[in-house]
Amino acid sequence: MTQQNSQTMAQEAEFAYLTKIADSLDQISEWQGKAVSLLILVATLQICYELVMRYFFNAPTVWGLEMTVYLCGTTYVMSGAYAERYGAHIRVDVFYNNWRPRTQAWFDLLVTDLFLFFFSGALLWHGSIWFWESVNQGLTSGTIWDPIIWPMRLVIVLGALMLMVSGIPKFLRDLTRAVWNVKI
Amino acid sequence: MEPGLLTILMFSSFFALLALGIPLAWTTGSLGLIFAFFLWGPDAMSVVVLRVWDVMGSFSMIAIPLFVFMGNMLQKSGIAHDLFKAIQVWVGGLRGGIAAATILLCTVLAAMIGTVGADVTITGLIALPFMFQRGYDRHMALGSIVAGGALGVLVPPSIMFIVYGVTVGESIGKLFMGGVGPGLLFGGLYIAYILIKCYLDPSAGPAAPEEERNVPLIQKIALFKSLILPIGLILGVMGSIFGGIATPGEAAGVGALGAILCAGVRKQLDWNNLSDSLYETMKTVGLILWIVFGAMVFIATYTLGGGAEFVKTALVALPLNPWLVLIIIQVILLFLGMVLDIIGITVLLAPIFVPVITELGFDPLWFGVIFNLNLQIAYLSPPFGYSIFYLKAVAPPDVTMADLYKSVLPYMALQIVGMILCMVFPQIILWLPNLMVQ
Amino acid sequence: ADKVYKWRAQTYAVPGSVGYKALETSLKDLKAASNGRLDIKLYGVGSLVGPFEQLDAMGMGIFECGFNAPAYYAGKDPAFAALFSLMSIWESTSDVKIWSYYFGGLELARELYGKYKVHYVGPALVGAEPIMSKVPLKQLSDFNGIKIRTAGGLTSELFKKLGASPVKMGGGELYTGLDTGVVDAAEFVSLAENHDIGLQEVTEYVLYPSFHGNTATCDFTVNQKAWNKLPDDLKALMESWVFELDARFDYQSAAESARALQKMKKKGLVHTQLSSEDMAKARQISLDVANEWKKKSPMSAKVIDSILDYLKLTGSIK
Ligand code: NA
Ligand code: NA
Repeated sequence: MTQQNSQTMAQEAEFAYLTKIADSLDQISEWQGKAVSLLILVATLQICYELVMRYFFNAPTVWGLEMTVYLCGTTYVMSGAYAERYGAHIRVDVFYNNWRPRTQAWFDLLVTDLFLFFFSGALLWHGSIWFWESVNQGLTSGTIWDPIIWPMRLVIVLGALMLMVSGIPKFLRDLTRAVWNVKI
Repeated sequence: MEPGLLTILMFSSFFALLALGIPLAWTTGSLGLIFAFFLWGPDAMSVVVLRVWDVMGSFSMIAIPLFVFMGNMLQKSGIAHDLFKAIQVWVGGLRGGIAAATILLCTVLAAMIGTVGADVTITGLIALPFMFQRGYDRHMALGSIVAGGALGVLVPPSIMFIVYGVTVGESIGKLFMGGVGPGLLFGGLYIAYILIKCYLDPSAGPAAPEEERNVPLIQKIALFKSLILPIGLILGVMGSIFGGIATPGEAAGVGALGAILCAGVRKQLDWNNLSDSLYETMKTVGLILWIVFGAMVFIATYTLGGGAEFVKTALVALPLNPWLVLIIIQVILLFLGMVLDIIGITVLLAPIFVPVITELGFDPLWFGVIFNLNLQIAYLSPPFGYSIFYLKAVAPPDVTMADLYKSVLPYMALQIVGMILCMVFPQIILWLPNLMVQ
Repeated sequence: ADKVYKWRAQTYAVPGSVGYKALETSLKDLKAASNGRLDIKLYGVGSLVGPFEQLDAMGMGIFECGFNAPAYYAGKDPAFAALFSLMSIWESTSDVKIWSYYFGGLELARELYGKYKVHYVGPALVGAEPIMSKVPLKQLSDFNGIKIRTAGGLTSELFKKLGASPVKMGGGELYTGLDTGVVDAAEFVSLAENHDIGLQEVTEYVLYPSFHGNTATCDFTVNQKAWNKLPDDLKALMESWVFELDARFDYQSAAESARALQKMKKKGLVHTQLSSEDMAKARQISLDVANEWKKKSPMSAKVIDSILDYLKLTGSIK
């Protein structure tokens, strides 16, 4: 028992740097998610301001509706990483739950994590091309307000990037669990 | 590739990978991209960024974070507590009265909140301990909350109608109005079932003790006070939509501010409650929107490959009565609802089925509501039912999944009866939208 | 056997609407005329990508071709808005066609679309558009203070000059927008298409013909690579087919609009028209807007100058 314990502890020490990487990446996902969540509050207040201006003063702003859409749109994309950090993405686990933890880790390592990286990677790749084009051509939204649109396209790039980053801790944990049967 | 072959390949790999336990969002998104790559090359994979961008620019989608936030904030505000106390004093004297009060509470909550999660969580926290304490039958108590909470889909506002409306281009205002009739019908069916069952078998839901019932009338009337905030919120949200002041998305913003104010009135507004609500919202938005992104990529590839057209042609050409085709569609939805996420089903299948329905000559608005009636059952149907998961999360630890699965069966039967009624008598759905259009 | 080109096209129009049906019929003709070699499948608005993303999607080759209102691309280059509509500066659809085919319009449009890896085949127009509203719009001064949906572009500027607040919205969200009072009025292509999406259910007045768009120019465009691969006979066929499509689009829309107006009046909507003085005034403001719009981009200046030169030549403007 003690021998096994000390062996585990030795292993854990061995993987300490991986633990550290995983934990700090988790912190990044956590921090950005919490920061972006404030935009929901901003959008709430901004909508009510806009409605008051529109309904009571008949003076809608030119930027109001569009701004709300951008604020909320930012939360759609950035929330992916935050949900991943808490394992909130919906999966059907009827079979999965019956597997041993190590089998689950192998499966996630070879399939699930790959799917996450593939999807977010494709979005990152094409999002970047698309972002770059909007910078190069100085694209605007074409509305009355007509703001430049690269900041919103940058949000797609950042959201995809953050989603990849949020997948790395899980990948590391699956890796150590699958290969060395160590829980970090 | 032949559309028939594409259909088989895409959907069989989808179900296989999903069953293995890959999250829905990554399964649909990645499969959509892989098929796009093999069919048309790497450039076609850019469909992912175009679809994400399109969702980001939608006026209606903004309702999702705002309604989720509103629900979380209302939960912290505790206004449902007072409301439940009032309803329960009024109807608690009946056998099964507390369960009936729970359905009423759910209906009122559903008229304030756009999400089912908040309905079930709030009611689960308030009404469940109360019913257990009064010796209610376990399944009666659990079932009433799981089913009552799912009314949130039908009684407007509802993010399900919003996702549906955005996906197929149906009017969200009309869908909201179409949900009112069925919402009231389903609530009525649940209450009738509870009262009849408890009347016949008092042990299932005993009446409140005498001393609790003997509240002086003046006090009973004073309890109406607790209705002020909820009614204010309902008027704020639905009133701003149908009073011509705000879009459904903006109305969600009004509701969110209203919920913050309610928390303030009840002295529950502090940074902890506010930030917790925001962080929780972020999690829910992440899981909903990425399912939408993934499903949109999947369905765009499938449609580009001629799949949707293939299904439409095949279903319309079937030598069957249109009603039979409709029933087949309903049965497919019912089965998928057992194992699949509701948003996923909407984004994946509504664009395929709606053209079929229109071609067969059915009213698309009516079908839109029927579609969501069916998905409302999916909230309950085992094994994958959100409503069940939400309640499990707040129920006492001795409540097992088996308890919950068993508790929903009578309510699922009622839902199917209700759905058949709405199909046979379309006016249940259409009377209100038609009235408003006049 | 000859190679079959199986293409996909997306349109701004809603399946079942007049615009969609005209296109569907014409595509069937094209298939028959090409002996089955040009087989284009049509998709309704938003079923592949959103209308604002359509130019990108065609450039990237996500689908090969499309039929859309270039106003949706105004964020890319303001010149697209000028191609789509010059408010009441154009007097008729045939004016636009003469300019397009015989006064350099086609070449300019090809230069503009070429920058986005898309080949411009040709225009297809509809005539005068209506404005449908919840408030009476009988004279220009009635526009002061109202919220009105537009697709963006020059029309927005025109409405702004009249004191209205323009709101940019896709066609799909228009019904709800009017129903919930986010806008008081809306302009959205032809009267028939307004009727198809049910705007008469949520409005009380129809201003027709309106001053904001005597013509609206949609166009048929093809991914450049896909176009280059097409054999010469099919290229020629497609060009003449767009000519035919344009006629069908224009006439069918006019016919259906006449019927739609009848139905709307029957339903109790009030039909209003501006006085000729107000129409003349609107045309002057339109010219001012167009001249300001030239500053927005080099292509925009080229397109508008070319159009104004043509109209001066015909004596339509001074
Ligand atoms: Na609701
Ligand atoms: Na289910």
